[in-house]
Amino acid sequence: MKYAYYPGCSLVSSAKEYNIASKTMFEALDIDAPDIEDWNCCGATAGHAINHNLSLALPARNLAIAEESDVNTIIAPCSECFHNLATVNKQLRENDHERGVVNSVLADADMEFKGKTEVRHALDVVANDVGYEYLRENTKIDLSKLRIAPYYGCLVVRPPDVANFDRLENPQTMDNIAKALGAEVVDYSDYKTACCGGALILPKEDVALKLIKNLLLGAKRAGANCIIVPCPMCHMNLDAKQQLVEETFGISIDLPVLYFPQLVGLGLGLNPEELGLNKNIVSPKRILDLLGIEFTGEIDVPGVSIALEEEGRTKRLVFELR
Amino acid sequence: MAVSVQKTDVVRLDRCDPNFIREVEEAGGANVSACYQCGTCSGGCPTVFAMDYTPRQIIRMVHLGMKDEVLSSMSIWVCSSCYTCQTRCPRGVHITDVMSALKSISIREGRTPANPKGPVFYKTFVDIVEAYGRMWELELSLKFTNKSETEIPNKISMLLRDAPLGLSMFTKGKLALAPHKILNISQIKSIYENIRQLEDEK
Repeated sequence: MKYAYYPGCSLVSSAKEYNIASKTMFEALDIDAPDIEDWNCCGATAGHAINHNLSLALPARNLAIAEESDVNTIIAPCSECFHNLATVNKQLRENDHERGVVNSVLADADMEFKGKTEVRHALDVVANDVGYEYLRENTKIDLSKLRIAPYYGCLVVRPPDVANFDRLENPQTMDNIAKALGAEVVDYSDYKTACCGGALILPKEDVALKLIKNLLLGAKRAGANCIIVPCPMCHMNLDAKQQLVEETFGISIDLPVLYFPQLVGLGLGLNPEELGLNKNIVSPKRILDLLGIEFTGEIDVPGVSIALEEEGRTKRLVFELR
Repeated sequence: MAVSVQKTDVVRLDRCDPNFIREVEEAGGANVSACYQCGTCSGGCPTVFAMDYTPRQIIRMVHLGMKDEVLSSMSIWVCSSCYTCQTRCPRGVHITDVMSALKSISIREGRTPANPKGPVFYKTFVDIVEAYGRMWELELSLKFTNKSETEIPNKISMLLRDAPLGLSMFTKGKLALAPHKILNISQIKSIYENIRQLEDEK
């Protein structure tokens, strides 16, 4: 099996810790997966909302680049990228008309989609190529104090004609990975595949915040002390937007949200900085303390609150350092 | 007993567009005509609480050619593309893809959307990808806030509200201050150019 790695746009910026942890994890698991050269954005949900052919052509360029080498499996850690690449791969293989259109669009770029590779989610590769047995045998740290809520989100299980490596309504791969590493998994089955709102966090924030609130409260109620996710969009909403959810609904959550390779890495005995754990927004220090893992890499972010206060007709900016 | 029918409840077939259903299928909404109105889609939809028409109603309105009503609905902009409806549909209707197709037709035709932030977000996103070949989140969030908030105080308060998170992301090295431009950006430009040409030929 020859792998290639498609990071996607989030993983090189807002989800940098997912990229760092995935690469460290794959190295530790002896999986060699170099980046697809000069990859481009998959179009995310925006491509679909603008133009059907654009949503096919952007992923197709990446597939065509991978096909020029001897790669047979593309690993995508981002669920949205995985969805787009895998959907296009399937659709263009099956639909001669659409393949013709896309190849005519790619022709000026001197590229052709042939359909020679498979696209798989990073979670699929760890669960099925590496396997739970390997993880169980190579666990070096006692993770039994972790009570994990595994949140899968939408696109690792839906639509099932594209995402078919796990159970549809009650997926198990992350549960099994966490259990193999010796962690406790709480019953999170009501929320595992419920939507976090995804990209709606920008154009329809009120709706997304309600969905995120339900997921976070669900994890609290289930007794979790940590959530794990396989997607940078889910992570953005559950981790980076957690404070906004708390403020909006007047609730307290305070739950660290880890990418699943960060958990795998911890279990394999890798150090927290190598796994980018200093980059998560909600600090994972609490759970690392619980595990007895020294965590010196915490980045002190100056606590600043900035607000616009209105008094009658005058408005002023208020800065407050904490 | 006399049944009273409100004027607004009447479907004006003379104002419907019989080509609409074909248009939706061409824009990526496969199998829309297979729907038998069971409502499984609406039952599982996580954002239906914020919709003016349920997904089932939207599909039926597409059948009837109620183009103006569908394209001016809030529902199409509230869909989060989670694929629950499409996954559970017993008739294989690609409902999520239908919703995306409806967004794209609305944007292409320059319709007045029920949620103006929707088109602003999607357009800003693909424009940035055309410029660099990849997303640049800083430009996306700044441009989106600037274009989607029309009142200046709102622009300022939104930027201020998000500033602490931005600062935190920056400190952690997760906020790129410059775009990652791909090497063969000319290939992306030619892809966009060819797609525009295909649209013009229609």
